[in-house]
Order: sequence, then structure tokens, then C-alpha cells
Amino acid sequence: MANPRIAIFARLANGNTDPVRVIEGGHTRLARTSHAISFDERNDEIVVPNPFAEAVLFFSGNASGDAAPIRAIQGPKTLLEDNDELTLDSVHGEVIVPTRQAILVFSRLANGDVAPLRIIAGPKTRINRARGIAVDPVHNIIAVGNRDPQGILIFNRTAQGDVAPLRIITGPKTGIYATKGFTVNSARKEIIATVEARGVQVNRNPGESFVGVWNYTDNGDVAPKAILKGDSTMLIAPRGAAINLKDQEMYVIDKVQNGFFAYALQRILR
Amino acid sequence: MRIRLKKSLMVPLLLIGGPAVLIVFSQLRGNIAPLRTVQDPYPVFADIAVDPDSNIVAVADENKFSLRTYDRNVSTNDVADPRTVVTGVKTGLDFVCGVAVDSVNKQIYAANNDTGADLMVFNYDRHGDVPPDRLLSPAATGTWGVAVDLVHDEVGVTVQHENKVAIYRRLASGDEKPLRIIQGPTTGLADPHGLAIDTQNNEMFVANHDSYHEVLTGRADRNAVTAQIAKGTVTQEALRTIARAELRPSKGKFVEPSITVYSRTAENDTLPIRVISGPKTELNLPMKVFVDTIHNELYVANSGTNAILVFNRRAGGDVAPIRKIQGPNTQLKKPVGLFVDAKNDEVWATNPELHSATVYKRSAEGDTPPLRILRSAPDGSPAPGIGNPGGIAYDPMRQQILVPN
Repeated sequence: MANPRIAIFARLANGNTDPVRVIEGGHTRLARTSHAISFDERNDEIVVPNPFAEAVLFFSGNASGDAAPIRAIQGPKTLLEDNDELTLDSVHGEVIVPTRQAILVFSRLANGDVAPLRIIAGPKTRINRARGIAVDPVHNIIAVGNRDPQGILIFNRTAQGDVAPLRIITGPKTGIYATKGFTVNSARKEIIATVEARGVQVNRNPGESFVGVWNYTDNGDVAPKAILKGDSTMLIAPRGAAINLKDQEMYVIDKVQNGFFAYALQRILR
Repeated sequence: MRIRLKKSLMVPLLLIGGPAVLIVFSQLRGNIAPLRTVQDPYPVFADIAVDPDSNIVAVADENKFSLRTYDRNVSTNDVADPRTVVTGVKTGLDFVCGVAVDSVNKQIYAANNDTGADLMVFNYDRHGDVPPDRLLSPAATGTWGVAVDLVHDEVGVTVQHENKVAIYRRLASGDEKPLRIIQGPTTGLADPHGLAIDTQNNEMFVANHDSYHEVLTGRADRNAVTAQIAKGTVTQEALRTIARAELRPSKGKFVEPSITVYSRTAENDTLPIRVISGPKTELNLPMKVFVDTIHNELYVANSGTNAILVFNRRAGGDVAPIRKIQGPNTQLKKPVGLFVDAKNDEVWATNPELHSATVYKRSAEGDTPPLRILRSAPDGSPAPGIGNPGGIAYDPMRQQILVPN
């Protein structure tokens, strides 16, 4: 809806249902177009971008109503621009923010006008209109979606400066047109990427876009090892994914459907 | 050993077994149905406009991507029957927000927000999956408010992503350039939403939220490639024509929400004539604005305080509203759309989280119940409130799913 907000639902919510709580209101400093959100299990915090104010906002994990952020990264030193996505590394206490041509890494505890700890940017990186990002702090990789080359760039987590990606998943077998939100399954060393098919925002054809699963070690023109795709999925324009390992579920948000769907993870990976 | 089947058994076996095999096969290939879905099946009203002479009310539905008209005086506590529903891929309607009516030429203007940032014009009688009678593409992303100026034959839109107001010929279409724009650091535009044009006093009013990032004058003029990226139709060849952006010091900041007022003919990086802003104003996520030139009043759908605020039309600075409609009896909840029907002395507001539009006497004040309610869903229906979403996270501590808009 037009109102900027974070709606929070019970895991078993089903059908037309109210959220159990909502973070919204003028004090929240939220704007629309927050294309990612991370939950920090170690520190019980929510992290979300506000690209219209070039800011990264942190909320208490149980925030509700018109709650003010507990921290905000914002200011000239941050170099934030077009920052509608992010991912969180709770192990090393870092927030990783893609802009269109760079990846900025901040301390999780940064507040105010703070420079990034590290920047991945430059022609060797091949980052071009990054969209979709995830980090695995255990296996030390950052995976980021890319438009040219069209695919997934995989960097060392601690990469800095103008460095080449470790691997690039790209080519016709990948089926990738435009990547959107990412997550990783660290236990299985897998990247899970939502992939929007060309034109689905206009034609709204269900079943053309998909969620693809790749290994961390994949390189070059590699088809996804598992895929969630087809009419039965109800997906039209998937924009982000999250996994719940305890209950073996995957949640996918869809821009055109204005809703989210829960799937059995093992059925996808089978 | 070979098993022989009678021919007569083959047909029933195929009929029974065939679909089962197909289902199993499709599931193996990842065509897996969700265990659970969370979606709102009902229209959600964003903006609203009224033509009292034609007795219609037009509403933009941002959830099911439709443009609906109803009888202006419909009075029922049930779900209202629309006169017309324009929806479908041919219409171009997407995450539609702003709406305006042209009561002379009997046309409805609807502005898509976010990636499908087009302004579509439909004749009043259009219904179903029909192409717009006119389509203008004012921005790559993020048009929100729309206002029609029938005196000067112009139409204006706000563009959230570009902190811009663009004014076009009323009959502009396609990629036509605007007649003028207001944009730049001096303008005070910050995440602009509602737009109102006062042709009698030659002024223009814009509702601004609190998020500011610097957009230089003329930057992000509609660029075909940028728009194609947003809509997900760009080709690799077109992508390579875009210059790489270098990192630069961020200019983002939080500002006070405001109503900025400009000369109707203002352009480029111009200072507002007046600014309504400050704690006394109670402005908090102001959405649609409307100028009532008969009573010299400015109306604001103030989403953040569940209120309709009314200011003197000439107000500026940190001034309190002269009255407000607010309180539990009003049934206002996060209002977005707004319209003052001077002929019938009524004011309308939309309440997306309640699937409703509520109507009040224009001069209503305080905790006043609505005169009528226009519903798009049964009273009390849940409202997930998910609109054009782009992210999702899981909180394993509370077993909850988080979705930002």
C-alpha cells in the first residue's frame, strides 16, 4: 500500500490476514521502496534501507507502531545512493549495502555519518546495476545479482577495492534475466535467488519468473540445481526470499501479487 | 513376463493415470504450490476524485490494479457495486495511486506509482480490460499525485523518486516533454506525494514526506532505458548504453514533512512561495492535498495521525490547522486519498487499511462519524497492507515474517 511500513506476520499466517504488528508512522523514518529487510537474530534487530533519504535504519526486533529507529546510517561519508537493498552479517557485525555500481560494508553499530569499512567497486569487480545481495559469514562469500554481465557475482566476504569476483554465474543455461532479492542456505552452501522474467511486470504471466538455487562453487553457464517455477507456484514477479531452516520453509515475496508465499524447502531441493 | 492389457482398459487407465503422472512430473520440475499464501483479495482504495455533476466517484485501487467508479451517493454498509471497473494488462494500470477527474471532457486520470510510472487517461464509460484513451510516460519510476488544470489546459504530476513536479499539456501523450518542471535542492521537494493546482490564485501545493535526497534540476528526465529497467523489459544492448555512476558523497537527510506552495507557473530550482511545516501543523506523512478556493481552505490527508487537516489557504510557517477531522468515530485510518466536493459540501477520504472511502460534511470537525462509507470489502475484513513489496525476512525468535513496503 502507499503507506511506508513494515508489516509483520505470524509464520503460519494464511489467506487474507492482518499483520500481528506494524512498524509505521512519521517517527519510523521509513519511506516506500525498501527492497530488502534483514533480521539480526544475534542482536534482535531489524535492518531496512530508506533509499529516498539515503539511509540505513535499525529497529529493535520487537518494534511496533510509530517507533523511531535505534540507529541510522546517513550522511556524506556513507556514500549511500540508490540504496534500496542490503544484507546483514550478524557474525562479523556488518551491514552490506549494494549501490548500483558498488558494494559498501558498514559496521552494524555505525550510527550517523560514518564511512564504509570496505568498498568493493571498480571495473574489475564488473558490478553493474547490482540487484539482490546475500552474505554467508561462515563460508565467507558475498553473492550479488548483476545486470551486465547478467547473473550472479560471487566475492570473497572480505574483498575490498577494485577486485575481480571469485566466480560469475552467467549464461543462457542460468535462465537469469533480472535477479532480485537473494538469500543463502549456509548449511548447504547454496545461493537462493529470485529471478524475474523479462516483461512479467507488464504481461503478469504466472510461472515465467522463478526462484533458482545454485552452489557457491558454481561458475560460468550453470543451470540452477533446483528451481521453483511454474503456474502452481503462483509467482509472477518474485522480489525476495527468506528461509526458515527449523521448519524447512522458504518464503517468497511477489511484487505483482502484492503478497507472499510459503513453500516446503525440501520439496524444492528434492 | 509380459503383462497384456485389454484395449478397453487402456483408455480409462490413461484418463486416470495421465493427469497424475503430469502432476507428479510438474512437481518434480519445481512447479510446487505454496503451503500458505498471504494476500488481500479485495481492492484497496488509494486516491479518490469526485465529479458531482456526473454523480460519480473515481477511485484508484492499488492492490488489484484497477480504476473504479461508483455512484457518488451510494449508501450501503455492504460492499458497494461499482459502475465501472477498468483492470487488466491492456489498461496499463499497475500500482496505481493518484487519480483526478476532468468533469468537462468526462475523463479520469490515473497515475501509476513505482515501476510502471505512467499517467493513463480513460473516458468515464470505459470498463474492463481496455487500453487507455491516452497514455503519458512522465517518469522512469515513481509518479504519485496528479492534478488537472482545465483553465490552462494542463496536467501536473509529482514524481517521488526524482523529487519533481512536472507540468504537461492536458492532451500530452507518449514521451512528450513537460512544459515545465519544478526540481532541485532549492524547491523543498522531498518524497513528494499529493499535488493540487489552484487556478484562481495561480498557486500549486505539494505534500512532502520526510525523506530527502539530492536530485539536480533536470536529472532523471524520462529516459527510455531507465524506464525499461524499472519495468523489467530492458535488453542487454540497451543496458550497455548507460554510463557508470561514480561514488559520491551522499546528500540524503531527513527533513520535516511539509506542504510547499509555488506559483502555478514556477519552474526549475525555485523557492516555494510559502511552506507549511513544523510541530504545530501536525503534518505527518501528508498524502493527498486539495484546495477549496470557495472557502479558501487547504485540506490534507494526514496519514500519520489518522486525520484530515484543514488549513487556511494562505497559511505558511508553523501554523496549527484551523480544524481537523480525527478520532475513533471518524473511521479514518491512515488516509491517503482526499477530495472536496464543493457542490455537495462534502469531503471524502480513503482508508486503505479499512478498504473504505468515508464521506463527511465539508465543515465537519473533531471526532465526527462519516455521513456515508464506500466499502470495497466487507466491514471488518483483514488487511495485510502489502503494496508493491520488494523484500522479506524471517525472525526465528518470534516465528514471524517481516515485509516492508
